[in-house]
Amino acid sequence: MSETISYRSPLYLQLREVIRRKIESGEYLPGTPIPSENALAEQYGIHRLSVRAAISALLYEGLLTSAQGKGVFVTMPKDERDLETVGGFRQTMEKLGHKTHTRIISKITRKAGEYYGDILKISPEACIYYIKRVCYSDGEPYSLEELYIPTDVVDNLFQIDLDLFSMYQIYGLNGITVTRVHQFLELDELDRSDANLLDIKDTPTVMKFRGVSYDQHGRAVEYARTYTRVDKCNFTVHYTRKED
Amino acid sequence: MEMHTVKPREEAMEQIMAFISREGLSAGDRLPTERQMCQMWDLSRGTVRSALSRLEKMGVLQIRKGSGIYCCGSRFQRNLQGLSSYSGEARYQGKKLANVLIGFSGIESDKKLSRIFSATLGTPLWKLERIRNLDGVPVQIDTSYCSAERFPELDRFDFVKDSLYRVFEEEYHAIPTRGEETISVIKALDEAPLLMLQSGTPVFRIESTTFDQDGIILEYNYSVVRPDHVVLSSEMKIIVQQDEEE
Repeated sequence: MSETISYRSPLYLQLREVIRRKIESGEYLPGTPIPSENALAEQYGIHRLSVRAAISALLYEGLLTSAQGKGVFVTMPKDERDLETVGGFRQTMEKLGHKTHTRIISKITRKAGEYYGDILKISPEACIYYIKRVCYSDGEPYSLEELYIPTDVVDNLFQIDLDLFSMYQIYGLNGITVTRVHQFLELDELDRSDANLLDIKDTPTVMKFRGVSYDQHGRAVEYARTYTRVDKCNFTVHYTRKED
Repeated sequence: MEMHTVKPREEAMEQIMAFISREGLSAGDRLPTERQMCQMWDLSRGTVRSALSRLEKMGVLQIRKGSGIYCCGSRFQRNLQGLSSYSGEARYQGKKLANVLIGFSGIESDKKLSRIFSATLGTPLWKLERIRNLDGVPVQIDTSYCSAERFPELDRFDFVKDSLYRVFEEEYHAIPTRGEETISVIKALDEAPLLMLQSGTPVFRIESTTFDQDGIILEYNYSVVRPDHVVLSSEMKIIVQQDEEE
């Protein structure tokens, strides 16, 4: 609780909040280095290990980033993404002014099986497309996506260039409008191989969104799992009282 | 159309998850043994083991050495758009909520809080800190701030039992009407012991601001939430896809 930090709190927590405040107030500007471990230790008269603990917490939150041999820098502000408007990765990120591309890791056609059949409300024997891809924002890996789409929804999906067209565009061409997505947000730990795809070096914890998209007729058209790096963005939700 | 078979580990995970939902297993229910699973689905021991370990990381099940494999059950779903009280949501999902009061006092706003409340430095505020226990597990540390001028004598209510929103609405006629919530992930440090977590465990941080019917700020809330017990949910609705016309 950053609000409850007092003079009695451990020194590394106090320093963490000092650095956070300097970033928030603009004393430490995005893209510029913060003082070295030694300088901070000397300035505040505390141990280097305390300085390191404070910095490591902020590295994790994504407020700071370290460059080998160059020191620790203030990162550019995180993207604020909102959770209540539906839009694919591409649409959302381009609105925020980022260049995007994707890389397909795997795309196959398979049987739905009992598990996905149940989620998508189709027979376990029905065919679905499975796509696993990495989404990049300004050339950096941002999220890993796994999509499960009944083949009935879109014909010949794999003949379409999935990097050129967003899923929403493809649905649109097939007369489908996604009108509702019920999604869940959890934390998950990626396998090493998947963490590597996202260029995550240390703790492979990611934000996992999972949810089913429904079209204008209430049909389930897609089940998606998206693993997003925790240092890349915050998510915002607006809420309004429902009149019953 | 050419059909692919699914990777063995994926197949094992799907079988186990389908089994849990088909059998209607809930928290604490025992799953078949590793050996039984191999036979049931004709999978190798290594495949089943790898699937189980992934599902354990995902919080679907728990492997207790020498005892068996147990289902974790469904997590508490916190609806991000609801404006409903914690107690109401808990009751609805059949979980028992208990609040522990860790602090309730009048404070003066600092720079950050002054900005949030559009008030001058030193404006009197209430600060209410509670731990939310669900079925006996501390899942969330909740810190609420609200104006002391607007809510005089707020400390006459017992917030171990009472809901802040009920008091706002019924005692002060201030109706929580809309708000904004930002979610990020941090490592639990000083808050870890209160949540019975190891220091450094990733947790959700939720900051929210709620306004009343006249658009005046009611509450600023700062929460740290255990992701192994709570899943956040939201419903997205559309929006005209005007960008698709290009």
